[in-house]
Amino acid sequence: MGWLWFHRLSSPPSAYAFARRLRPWIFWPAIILLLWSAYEALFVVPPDYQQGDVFRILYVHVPAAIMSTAVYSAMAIAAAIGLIWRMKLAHAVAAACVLPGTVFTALTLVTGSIWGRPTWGTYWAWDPRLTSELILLLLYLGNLSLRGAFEDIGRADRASAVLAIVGAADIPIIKYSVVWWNSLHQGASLSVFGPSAIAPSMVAPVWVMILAYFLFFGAVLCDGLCAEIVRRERNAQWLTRVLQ
Amino acid sequence: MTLHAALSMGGYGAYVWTSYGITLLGLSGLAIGARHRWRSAIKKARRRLKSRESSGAMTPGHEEIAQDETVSSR
Repeated sequence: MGWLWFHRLSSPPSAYAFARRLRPWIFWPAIILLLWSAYEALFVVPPDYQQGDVFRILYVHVPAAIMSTAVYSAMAIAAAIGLIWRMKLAHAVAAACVLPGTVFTALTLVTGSIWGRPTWGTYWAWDPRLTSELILLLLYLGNLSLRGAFEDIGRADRASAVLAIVGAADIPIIKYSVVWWNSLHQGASLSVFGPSAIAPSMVAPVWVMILAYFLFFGAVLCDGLCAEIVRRERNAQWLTRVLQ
Repeated sequence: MTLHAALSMGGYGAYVWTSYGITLLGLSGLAIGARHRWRSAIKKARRRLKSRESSGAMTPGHEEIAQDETVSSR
């Protein structure tokens, strides 16, 4: 009984209808939260006592970094489900994750580099955290290329699923790189369960921005998933009914 | 906060505003691109449906069915 909703949702017509219904309910709250937290981060939060105003970059950098690994984890899990249980919808979810993940990772690297210039004195250093994040970007790009390299959707799904699963080894490396090696990059400043290393007056917009990024990703995933379902189910009777 | 203070950001304005601008571009591109991909997939599917209807076949051709079954079985 408990799994009934899952089985129903795993069918493409139900997933398509669910994604279409869900999308506006998360997209507009995401935009409102993004605008509110950007306003707070830029104009309300006081400057950091050490970094000054340049620390405001972290309000867009940290959520992007969290999303880059979260989206990859979601993609690898979906790819594994698709590969093991041959669930077509899971492959569609994995495919829909690739582009948002690539953009979040690129934003992480670019905003991090811009922050690094005045703070560290350089745009780039071959630091363990930065290098492992760059490898993540290459994994996303590899996944994108693999999906485009095959005519057959099934073969593309399998090949990119294997790459996604193997590449998931990079996720714990990114997370613990600042612990395992001497790193220029600072350690974790935010904690879900414990106290954060950031002053309470500065931390609220970060959490709101993270929530906004998650909602935004959800909305983008809904559109991406619908596009994937339409592409894969182009001859299905249910889609013909939807299109008419 | 005055406009000048907001723009200069304590001397780090170029870094801060560039970061926010790039983020805005990236996120808008992502949202618009995803919407566009869905709409173009729908358009393509509608075109296929119309061409099938105009050729008098309501069901997909044998070749397409065979191809789809190959994909599904994998």
